[in-house]
Amino acid sequence: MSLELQGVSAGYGAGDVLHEISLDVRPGEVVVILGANGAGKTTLMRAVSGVIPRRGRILFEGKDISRTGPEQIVRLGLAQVPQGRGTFVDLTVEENLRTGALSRRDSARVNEDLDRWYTTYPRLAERRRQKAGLLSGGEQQMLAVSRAMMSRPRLLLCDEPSLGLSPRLTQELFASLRSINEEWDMSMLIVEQNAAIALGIATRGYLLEVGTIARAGSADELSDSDAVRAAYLGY
Amino acid sequence: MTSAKQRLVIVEGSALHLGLRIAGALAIIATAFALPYVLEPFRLSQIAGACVYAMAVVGLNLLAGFGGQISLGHAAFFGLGAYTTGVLTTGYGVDPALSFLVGIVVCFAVGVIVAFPALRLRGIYVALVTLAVGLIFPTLVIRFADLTGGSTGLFGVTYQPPDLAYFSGFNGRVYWNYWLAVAGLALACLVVRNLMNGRFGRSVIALRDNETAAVIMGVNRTGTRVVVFGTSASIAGLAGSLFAVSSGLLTPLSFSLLLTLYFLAGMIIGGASSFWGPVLGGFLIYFVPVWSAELSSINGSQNLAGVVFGVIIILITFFLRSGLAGLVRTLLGLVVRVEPRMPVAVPSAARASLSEPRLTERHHLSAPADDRPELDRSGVGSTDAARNH
Repeated sequence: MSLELQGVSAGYGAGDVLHEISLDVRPGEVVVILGANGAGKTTLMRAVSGVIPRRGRILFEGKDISRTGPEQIVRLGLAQVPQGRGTFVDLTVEENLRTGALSRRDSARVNEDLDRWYTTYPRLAERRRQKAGLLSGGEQQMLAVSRAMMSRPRLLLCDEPSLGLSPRLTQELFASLRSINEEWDMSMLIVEQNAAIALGIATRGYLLEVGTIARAGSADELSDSDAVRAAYLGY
Repeated sequence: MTSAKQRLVIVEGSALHLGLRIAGALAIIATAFALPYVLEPFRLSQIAGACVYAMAVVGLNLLAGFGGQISLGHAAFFGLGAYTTGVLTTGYGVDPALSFLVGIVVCFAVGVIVAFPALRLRGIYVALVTLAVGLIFPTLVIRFADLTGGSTGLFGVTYQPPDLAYFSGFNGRVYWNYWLAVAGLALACLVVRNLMNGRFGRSVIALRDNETAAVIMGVNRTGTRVVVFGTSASIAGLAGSLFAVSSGLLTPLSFSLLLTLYFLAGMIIGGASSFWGPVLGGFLIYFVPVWSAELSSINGSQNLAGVVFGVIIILITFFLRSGLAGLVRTLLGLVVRVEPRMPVAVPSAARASLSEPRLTERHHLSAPADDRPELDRSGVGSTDAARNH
């Protein structure tokens, strides 16, 4: 198992937002978590990456990380594309990418990976010496994905990657995530409101409603389910 | 706007670029050596005073500019260094050089202690913690009058010049203080530059820009903030030590909140989070009061230093967000463009993927290249310049 949550609860002091969530991601799978605003999607991401305190067991490749700090979790091989992209606006594009590789000491291979992501996203290569804050929304999303990949993770978390992107850029982004999944055999956990597009690349999915898992199933099952259709697909 | 074709283009890392940088460094060193021969001794000691202030501003800039955490307590670190040197040399006969080191260590330690509560806080609350430090310090100096001389002050702090012909003349002590201050400023600039170039510097800016994202990327928040706070405080402390030996007299009033505000003004006017802007700013906060005092003694009016600062800061805030450093950068940008050096492998690979359908097929995000027309070099250059304004 790549990632396994067993009865995880978390919140921000005033009360729990997540109530005993259990879910798993198998190696090589793309798992999507659907949910409306306020369902607890971002809280779930933060709980996994260790930014907020959480209870219950979170196993990453069998190792309990529920008491591990975020900077250690990155070193274990779990990277995140944060919500709103988390661009470091005053760093250049290249410095942003290098920040992704902060946990690595193999500088020769870091440079190879830089070249690799510049090849994948030539737009970033052209702008490598510019402040990342000057990039367009789509370019910043490419930057966020490749920055997370620069840590050479074995599991990639994506927090609402379609946020603020045009439908066309969203399409391209998810195509890109799919190709990362295929080429690198990358396990992914994606939190997303855009159910149609997310289920398109997902193996399985969970439906999160007010902090609990309301439904689980394969991508096809969820697409066919009336509840998901009515609430998230709109037909 | 001047187009890129009319501007001088310098390739980064080329012989010309390197040569210009070396020439710039040599010019600064030559100026430092020439000043003692050109200026009257009292002007030279003013330059020394300005260097000491500039040092403190450079230290503050590490924390407040690069780190993004406003400190209202830097006069206290400056004073802590000054009193460490003052008390150790006059009261215990410690060698001044050793007292400098002690001051650096003490200020680093106090900086770290202040950093810990500041870690759990953000924005205005960090400022409040440091404000407390800034307010407590003068009170402590008065409270421990046996040690510090209290509000009467501590007299006779001095650093005897070494036994060299250069420092043996009538103005030997002025020269010595001047060189101490110049060396201190150079050291502060080098320390900040080395810290900020590379892995650690990227972590500092990442934390300032987006703390949560930085932590997710693996930035060690506590370690980074603590080192920034401690280093910033110890640079201010060393500046204080140098201030002590060159002024000879320390009173608690010299290290009040007002001095911190001057340091902050210097940082903003010079250009926060630039490398040499704070040096300019430090010189300005030293010389504006001097000039305005000289001016008012000539025509008998009030000393208007405060008004001058107020007007400059308002102008900077509205028209020149990145300070004097930003102004110089913009002006230079009109005539010179430093072209980044591209790695040999990347652009060719990047172009290949744009033109070969085989790759765009797989990496869909490389496709939107067509929604923005490929600009020629000069076009890219001028949009860069326009965006940087």
